Amino acid sequence: MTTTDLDELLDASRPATAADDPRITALLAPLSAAARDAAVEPATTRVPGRRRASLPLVAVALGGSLLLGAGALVEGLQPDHQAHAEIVFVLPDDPFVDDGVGAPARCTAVLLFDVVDDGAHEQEAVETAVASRDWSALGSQLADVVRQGRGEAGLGADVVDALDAGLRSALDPALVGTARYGGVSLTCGGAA
Amino acid sequence: MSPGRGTLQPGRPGDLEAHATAVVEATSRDVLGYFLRRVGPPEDAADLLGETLLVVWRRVDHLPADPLEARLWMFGIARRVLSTHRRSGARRVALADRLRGEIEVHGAVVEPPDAAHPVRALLLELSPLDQEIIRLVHWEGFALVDVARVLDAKPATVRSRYARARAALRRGLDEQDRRS
Repeated sequence: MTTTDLDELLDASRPATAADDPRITALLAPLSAAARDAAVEPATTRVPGRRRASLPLVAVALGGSLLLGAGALVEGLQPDHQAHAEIVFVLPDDPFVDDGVGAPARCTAVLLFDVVDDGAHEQEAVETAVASRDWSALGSQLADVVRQGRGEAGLGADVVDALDAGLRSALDPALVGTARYGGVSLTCGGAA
Repeated sequence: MSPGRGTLQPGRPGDLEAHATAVVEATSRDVLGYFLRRVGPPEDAADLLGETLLVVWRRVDHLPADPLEARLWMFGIARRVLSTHRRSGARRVALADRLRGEIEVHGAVVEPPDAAHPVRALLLELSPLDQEIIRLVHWEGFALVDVARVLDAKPATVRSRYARARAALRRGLDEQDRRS
């Protein structure tokens, strides 16, 4: 089989979709306009004492199961619910360690905090921490996310310190296990 | 993909909005196709596009000024939205309801299942990352260097994985030929 043959077969394997259908493309501009309007709607305000602890409010996800993403996504927002951020990050080596499986070790930090705005601050802080790839500072930066997301002094310095230490130790590839620090669950595992 | 690289400077909101609108209009159709080829049921693609556009507009200050960079940035967001979708399932986005309805009514993918397609069946035997590299090149039309940007990966790594994946596919297709 020639290279050209292979290219043609791979190109031809592309499933046809209706993305070009005029009835669908006509909806894309209104969808974008609706998204733009939704994106600039005023942030919801927090009402103390009305939090429902079990409902996730903000989910921040970094990367996929294999890749380190430099971006973060705010998944959802509802007023007065507890925030939930899931942060997945790989260990401080080449995320494409080619071990035949393709999945490097990774850590997942699940942070719980109250929301005080639309989550944009948390998103920005986490994104900056990961984009900088300054692993030595990641722990304290994520602790800041928790502290600021909490929006009050009640988180407790011990919890923040534990989180900080936990994240730092999690960046040690030798660590495998799960730890829980107050509202923070930290898991480091082998191949994802 | 560094979010700050080549981004527009704040202070000119009209220019920024016009630029963002142009980028979104030029790229949304391709992003919708990207989702339609990767998720089932296809109506979920409407919600994923809605999610992507929400993130794009929330983070519009980070939109690269260069149109190609902006396109890659938007696909990078789409990839992360898809990754989240695969971990946590679909999330209905109200603003995408009309598009969802249109896809439901008219269908969006008129193709046999991947397992019944000889090339796509072979593709499923590759690692998820290698599958995605092949798809981004041959389905979405990206150059390898751009695939690396979308995946936030090293170009050399993407090149080597692409070459290895092609070799595996070539072997599989040769084997299929011998059997037929």
